[in-house]
Amino acid sequence: MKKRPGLVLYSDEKTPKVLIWHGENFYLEKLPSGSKIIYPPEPLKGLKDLRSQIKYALENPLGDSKPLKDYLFAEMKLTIAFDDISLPLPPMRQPDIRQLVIEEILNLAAEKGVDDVVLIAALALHRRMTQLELRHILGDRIFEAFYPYGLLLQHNAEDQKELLHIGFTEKNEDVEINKRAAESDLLIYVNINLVAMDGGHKSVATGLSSYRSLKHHHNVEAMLNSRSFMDMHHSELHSSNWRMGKVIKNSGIKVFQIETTLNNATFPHEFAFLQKREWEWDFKDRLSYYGVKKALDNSPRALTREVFHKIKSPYQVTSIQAGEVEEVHHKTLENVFAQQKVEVEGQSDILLMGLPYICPYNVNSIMNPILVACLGLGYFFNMYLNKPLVRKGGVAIISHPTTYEFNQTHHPSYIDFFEQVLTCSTDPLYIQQNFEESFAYDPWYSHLYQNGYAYHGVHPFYMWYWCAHALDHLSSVIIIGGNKKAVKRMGFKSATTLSDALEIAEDYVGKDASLTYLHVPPLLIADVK
Amino acid sequence: MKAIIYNNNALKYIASKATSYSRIAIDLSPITLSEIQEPEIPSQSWVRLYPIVSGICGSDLATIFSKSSLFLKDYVSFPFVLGHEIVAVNDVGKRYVVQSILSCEPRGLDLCNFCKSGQIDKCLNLNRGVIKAGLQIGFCASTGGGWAQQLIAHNCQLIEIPDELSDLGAVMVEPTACALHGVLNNVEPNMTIGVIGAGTIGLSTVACLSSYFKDAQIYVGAKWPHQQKLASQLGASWVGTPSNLEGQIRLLTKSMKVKSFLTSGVDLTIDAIATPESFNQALKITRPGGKIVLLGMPSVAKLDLTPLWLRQITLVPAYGYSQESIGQKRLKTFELAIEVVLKKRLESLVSKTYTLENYRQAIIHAAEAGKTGAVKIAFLPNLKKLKTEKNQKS
Repeated sequence: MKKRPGLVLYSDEKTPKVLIWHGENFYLEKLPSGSKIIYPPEPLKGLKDLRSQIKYALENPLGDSKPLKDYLFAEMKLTIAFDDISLPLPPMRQPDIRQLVIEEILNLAAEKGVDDVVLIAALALHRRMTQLELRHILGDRIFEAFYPYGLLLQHNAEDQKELLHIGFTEKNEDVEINKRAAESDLLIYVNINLVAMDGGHKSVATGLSSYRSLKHHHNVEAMLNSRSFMDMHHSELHSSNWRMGKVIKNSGIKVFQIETTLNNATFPHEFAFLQKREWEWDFKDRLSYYGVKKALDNSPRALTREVFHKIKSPYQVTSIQAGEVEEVHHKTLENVFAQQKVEVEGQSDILLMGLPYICPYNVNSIMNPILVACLGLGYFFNMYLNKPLVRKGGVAIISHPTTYEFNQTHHPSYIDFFEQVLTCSTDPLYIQQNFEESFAYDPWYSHLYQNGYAYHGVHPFYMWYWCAHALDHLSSVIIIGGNKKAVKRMGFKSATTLSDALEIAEDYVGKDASLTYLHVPPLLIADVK
Repeated sequence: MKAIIYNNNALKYIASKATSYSRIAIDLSPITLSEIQEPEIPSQSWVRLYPIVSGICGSDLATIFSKSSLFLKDYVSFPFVLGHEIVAVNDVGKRYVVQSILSCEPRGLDLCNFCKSGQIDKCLNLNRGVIKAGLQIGFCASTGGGWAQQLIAHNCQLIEIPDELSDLGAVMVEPTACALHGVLNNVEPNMTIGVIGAGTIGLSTVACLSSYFKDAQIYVGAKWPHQQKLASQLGASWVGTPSNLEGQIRLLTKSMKVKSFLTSGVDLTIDAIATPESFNQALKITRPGGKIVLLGMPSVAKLDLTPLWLRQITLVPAYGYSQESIGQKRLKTFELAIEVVLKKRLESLVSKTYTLENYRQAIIHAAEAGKTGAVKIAFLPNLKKLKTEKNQKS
C-alpha cells in the first residue's frame, strides 16, 4: 500500500486533542480552531536485502567515481570514517546501517589484501563514545577486530599531532582535518543522513576537522545567513563546508562517500500511537497512550529518562548511494525530502513545538536547557525550505520541562556557559565576540574532551549560535512547563499551560493570532509556500 | 534603662543551641529585654553615651543562638548587654562611633607591646583591669552595650562622626573597619581575589577592595540576588552564586581540576562567612602558595587541613581593627572606614531598623537577612528620647 504523504490539518471544534511532546513525557491538548497542524508523512517502505543493496551501491558509484573495489590495493592505507552517536535519533535497532556498510567495505578490502585499515568515528567536537556505544553502531565483529588493536579510533580535534592543515579556501577559511584520514590512499566516509543538514562535504570537512576549521562556519554570521541550514542551497554553513570540500578534493585526498537514508519509523510498536494521527488512534492506541502516560506521570524523571533512552528505533533504510561526494549527496537529499517534505501554505504568527527527550547531543544523557533551546530554536525552527513556518516578529511556543540540570560528564562547559556566559548576555554575537575563545582554548575542557566523555569547550556556544536565526526572527520565545529560572536565564518567557502561553503571545502578535503546530517527531521538513 | 542582656544561663544556652533561628529560639535563648541599672563610670577618662543606632552583627546572632565557640567564654563577663556596632551621642549631643575593643588603655593598664604600637586588636589584656573581662563593649558586664539606652566608653574609643555621615551610615563604620583591617593587611596590588559571602562583611569587603585596590580582580560568591546586585554595584569584577564561583575562577585561571579542587586558583580568598563549607570552598579556589583570610567569625569546626598543607596556603585570621599604614602615615582603621562608608554610600546597606521593644522581630530579620532581601539590621535604642529632644528643640 502506498504510504500517505504529510498532512496539514486545519483544526476545528471537532478536531481531537493533539499529542504534544514534553521532554520525557507528552500530553494531549486541544488547539484553538483554525490552527494548522503539520503531520509528517508516513514511513516509506525500506529496502529489502540490504547487503545486496550495499554491494550494488559500491559497485555502481555515482559521479566520476570508480567502483570501490577499483580503489583498493594490497599496500594501501585505508581509512573508514563514520558518523557518531548523534545520528540517528533515537539510535536505530541493530544492525545499524553503518555496521552493514562497513562490513561490506571490509569484505572488499580483505579480498584485495588491504591490511592497513583504520576506522575513525567522526566526532568533530562531540564527546567520545563508550565501548558499548561503539559496539552498538559497529556490531561485535567489527568492534572485536579493530578496537583491541587500536585500529578503531575516535577523532581527536585537540591533538595537533593527529591533525593536518590542508590549506585555505578562497575565503581564507582554514581547512584542517584528521591526519590519518588525510594521508590515506582512500578515505571512505559512511554516513546516516537523518536530516537535510547532514552529509555531503560536511561529513569530512566538519566531522573530521578541528576548532581552527569549524569556527569558520559554526558561527553566528553563518547561522544568520542560513535560511535554513536544512536547505544547503541557502545555507552559509553548507557553502563554507562545500568550499572546504573542494580544497580537500584539490589537495589530492580521495574521498569515497557512502550516504544512507532512513524512513521515519521512529518508535517501536509499544509506542505505535506516537507514529499515528490522533483521530486514527484505535482502542489499542488509546489504551497504550493512557497506560504509558500514567506510568510516566507517576515515575521519577530519572527513571523515565532511562526508559526513553533505551528506545531503539525500528528505522528502515530507504536508500544507499556511494561515490563522488556531491553526486551522492544530491541523490541523498532527494531521498530525505521524499520521506520528510510536507508542503505548507503560508506562515503563521505563532509556531508551537513540543520537544521530546532527545536531541543530537544528549544521547544517553540529559537534555539541559541549552540543548532545549538548540533543539527548539535551532533544529525544529529550521526544519523549513523557503521561509520559516512562523512570520518575522512571530512567537515560538515550546513545550519542555527545561529542567535546571546538566550531565557533569558530558556537558561540563555547558554548565559554565549557562552560569558564567548567559548571565552576562544572551546575544549570540556578543557571546561569540567576548567569550568563545576563552572556552575554546580552555585546557580543562580540552582535557575532558580528549580523555573523558565531554563535549568540547566551545560546543555550548555552537548550540546557542544554532538559535541565532530564530532569535533574530522571533519577537519572543515562550516555554510551557519549564523551570522558571532556567527559562529566564535564556531570555525566554515561562508559561504554565498552552492557554497561558497564548495569552502571553498576544502581547507580541495580537489577538486571534494564527498558530502552526509542528507535530514532530517523527521528523518532517516544511516546504513553506 | 532598657537593655537587651545576655545572662549566663546554661539551660537556656543548651535550649537555644538545639533550635534553629526562630522566635521560639529567641525566647529559649539567654537574652531578655530588661530594665537594668545604668553602668557606672570607672574613671574620668570614661563617658556616658546614648546609642542612637546599634547594628546586629553575625557574631551577635551566633551568641544569641549559642553557635559561637565556648573558647570566648573567658573573654566575656556576665550578664552583658549586647551590641558592639555603636553609633551614640554624649550628654551634649555630639555623635560618635565607638571602637568597641576593650584593650589596655580603657582597662587602665600599662600598655602591652601590641597596644603600644596601636595594635589594639591583638591586646594581651582582654580580661583584666578596672573593668570586667570582655573582648569588646557588647560582651563586657561593666560597660553595657549598644542594645541599650546607655553605655559607657573610654575616651580613646570614641571617633567623631563627620557631619556628612548620617547615623545609619555611621553604623556601617564598625563592620567596614573590620573588613578594611583584613583587606589592608593582606591584599597586594593586582591580586586576583575571591570573596565568599556577601552579607554585611562580604559586601563591606568588596567596597574596601574596590576602594583601595583598583586593579584587583574581585570574584564574589553571593547567595541571594540582592547581594549579587549590591556586590556588583560596590565594584566586584564578577558576581555569581557560591556554587558558580569555582567555575568562574577555574575559567579565569585556566585551571585544571582534581576532583572538586582547582589545580590553580585565585591569589587570595576572603572568607566572609567562616563556616566549614565556606572554608572548604576557599581551599578549593585558592592557588597553591596563596592566602585565605578568615574574616567571618568562625566556630568549632571539623576540617580537613590536608589541602591547606599540600597546597601550602597561608591561613590568616582577621579580627577587629586598629591602625593602618597608608603611605608614611598611621591612621585609625575607623577613620579610613568612614571614608569608605561615605565614598561607597554604605548607608544603603542598612535595610531596616527596630526599637528595642521589637527585638524579636529585629533578630529574626537579621538572621534571615539574605532570605528577606536585607543586609544590615539595626536597633534605634533611643528613638523615643531622640524624638522628644527634637520636639523640645523645635
